Amino acid sequence: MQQFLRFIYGVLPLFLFSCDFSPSGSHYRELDPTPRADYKLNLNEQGDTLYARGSVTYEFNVQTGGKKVYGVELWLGERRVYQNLNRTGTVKINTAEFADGHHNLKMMVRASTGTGSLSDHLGSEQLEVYRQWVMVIENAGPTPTRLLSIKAMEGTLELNWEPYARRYIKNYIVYRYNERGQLSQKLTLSPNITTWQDVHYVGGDMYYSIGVEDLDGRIAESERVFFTSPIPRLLSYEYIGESDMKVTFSSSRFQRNFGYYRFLMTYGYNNGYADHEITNVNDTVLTIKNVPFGIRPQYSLTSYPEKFTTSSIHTSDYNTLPGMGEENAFTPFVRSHYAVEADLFYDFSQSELKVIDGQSLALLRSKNYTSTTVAMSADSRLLYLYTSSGLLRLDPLTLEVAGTWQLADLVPLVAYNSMSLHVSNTNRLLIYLRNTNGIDRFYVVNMDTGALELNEAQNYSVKTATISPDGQMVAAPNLIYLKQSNGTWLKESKTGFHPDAVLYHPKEPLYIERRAAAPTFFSTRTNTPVRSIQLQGEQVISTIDKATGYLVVYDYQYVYIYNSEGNQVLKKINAIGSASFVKNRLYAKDYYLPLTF
Amino acid sequence: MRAVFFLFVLMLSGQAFAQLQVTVEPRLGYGTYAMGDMKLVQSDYRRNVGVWAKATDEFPAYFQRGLLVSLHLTEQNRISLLFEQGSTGGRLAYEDYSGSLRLDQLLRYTSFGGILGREHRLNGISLMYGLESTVILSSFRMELSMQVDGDSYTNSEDFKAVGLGAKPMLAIGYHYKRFLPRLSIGYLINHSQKPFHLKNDELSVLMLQNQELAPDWSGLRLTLSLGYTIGGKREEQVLPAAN
Repeated sequence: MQQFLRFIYGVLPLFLFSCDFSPSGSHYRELDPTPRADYKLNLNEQGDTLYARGSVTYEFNVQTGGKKVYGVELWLGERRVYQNLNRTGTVKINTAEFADGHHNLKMMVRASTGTGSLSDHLGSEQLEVYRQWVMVIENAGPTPTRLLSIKAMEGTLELNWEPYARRYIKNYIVYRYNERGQLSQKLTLSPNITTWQDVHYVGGDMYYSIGVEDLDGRIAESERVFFTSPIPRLLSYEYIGESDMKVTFSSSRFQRNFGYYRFLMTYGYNNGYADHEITNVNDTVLTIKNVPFGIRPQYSLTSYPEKFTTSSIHTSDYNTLPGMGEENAFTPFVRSHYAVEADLFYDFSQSELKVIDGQSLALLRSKNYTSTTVAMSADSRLLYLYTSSGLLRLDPLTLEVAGTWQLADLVPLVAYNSMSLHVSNTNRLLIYLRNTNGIDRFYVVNMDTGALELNEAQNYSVKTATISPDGQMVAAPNLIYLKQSNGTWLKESKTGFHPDAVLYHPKEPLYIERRAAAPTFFSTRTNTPVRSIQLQGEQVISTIDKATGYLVVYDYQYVYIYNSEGNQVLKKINAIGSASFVKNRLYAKDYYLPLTF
Repeated sequence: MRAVFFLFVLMLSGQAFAQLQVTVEPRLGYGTYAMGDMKLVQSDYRRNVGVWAKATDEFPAYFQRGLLVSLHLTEQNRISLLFEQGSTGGRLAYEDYSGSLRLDQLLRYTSFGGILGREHRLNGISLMYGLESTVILSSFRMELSMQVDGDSYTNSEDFKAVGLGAKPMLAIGYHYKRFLPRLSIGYLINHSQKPFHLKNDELSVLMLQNQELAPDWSGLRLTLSLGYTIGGKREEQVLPAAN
């Protein structure tokens, strides 16, 4: 039994403590832990810089060479704009949610490394691959560019501006403002150009600016830049002869833009005008025909561009020019009477007698009389004046009183309202007394003798009568009185005859009717026709010049000066119907025109 | 288990059995295991793990330990009680720079049973043949451990199964005094009564590809034992003769 126990104690421990099977193998695989970096991250945009505004959509695709994708993300700056597992997709970004400027667009892919390791297989070993783009966001409106230069070049005007540095430009816009700052033209130009020629500019003050219009139609305009170049202006003018004017003006520097000059000269309301267009830029001397005498012409010189449109600018020089002839140096006067030998003008207007030098038009002397009832003989030797102190005879040169009469001493006095006086060279004085309520009465008094030669009543609406310079004829409405050799006056009836229409020849004993259809000189002694004159057109005889005997004739526009025979026109001057000729000058209100024959 | 063993020894050592002839025979065996299902599990996992894992241990032959207590019914007939334990395992291993993966399949069994045998003696040489019949209680621990990038992960599941075994055997030994060293050879045929189920849940059965999985301990057995016979006279008479 003891032996058995020794056996048990000897064997059992071996038996009890023998071990269970325990696996012991291991398998190490040598792998290159370097990931396979055959990734491709693409956007449907070229280049590494993306320019964006508004809402943009990018398509992307990721190529991983067969490796597993755990995630694709796109980050714009600090913000994730896309996250998914797909290898391709689109991402839409509203750039307005980001500040303008440079941003970092990062496309990130998490994928397996491709090493084949356990960790790669389990996904705890991942490769993060990214690609970055610079994204330039620009949502702000356009900024103005700068107008660099405005230069006159090769006959036109050239503008140059700084190219717009930013993107998204749609157009440039050229603005042109006139000298008052009003927009006169707005022109849209291609965004590819930075120079432009203003083919409309021909001179003057102008402002230009350049606008930048972006794709949204927002516009930023540059500061306005002033440009000026002298406009064509009148340099000189010169009257040539009695009807023409030669004007000289400066030319336009902008030959290529130039279209034409328009020189317009106007002569006052209803008085006509002269209109000239000159297409040669260097043709700056112009002769204007038939300029009227007696007015101040107004001109405008306008330069037009060749490509003229309603929006074109055209610049004008305009002014009023002095009239033709000499300007009256003195206060205008009424040339009531002219004394040929003394070369004096008498002005009887108003209550003042003026004696004016016929050459210099200087006032020689004057005298105040409270009367306008004046008579002067054609030869200017006799001058009568009726005042409150009676009838005065004055010395025409000194204006001193040479004799005084009371009307009642000369004629049988009747009631009258007004009086007019006429005196012949022979000192026969015709006194006409007007009675507004009844019958007028006129008298002829020989002032040398004081004899009352004619005492006639007159009851016509025409309340006047005149006496011829030779004192042989008295003209009254429808009546002619002829002085007979026996001292009596023969009264002849002449229907339609009117004293106001009668012109007495200053040198010969003749008279003529101003408005006669066939003007004929009649003898003041016999009242028989002596000679006829031939006028042209609708002409009216105005005066017969005392100094020359020329007939001064008008029509609606011209003054004609005929020789004393009335058969030859010596001068034809555009005077717009109002001028008077004395001796060698044509007088208008403010001017006189010296004439030579 | 050990308590049972000791109780058994104490009973045998009692005077009541003094006239019985009993051999107590601890034994150490070495045997192969079929383990078809387990290999299927291993290869299936290897296929699906994704990395190039290798089966470093594929349920190799291993040792068994056991104890026989044989009662000498007659001169030649023997009936024995048997207790045996054995184990084997599989390992699927993978390791690279990034970490390691290990799937261990640890299998153990404890079997109880008996042997009916017949012994012939010839000049101290003992020849014996018999049939071993056992109930095999199997346990299976599947242990997955992983270490990746410094993190480790372990998971284990325990399964149990019950089966029957039959092993025809042939043994040759040599009687020396009361000792009998003996070498036997046999083939165990393992029939599973029940597939592996979770240790605490008999309804959760281990399956792969719609097939219930069970241990298969079948295989060749080579066993070395040393018996010690207590009781009986003849051996005592013989022994002095040998002296």
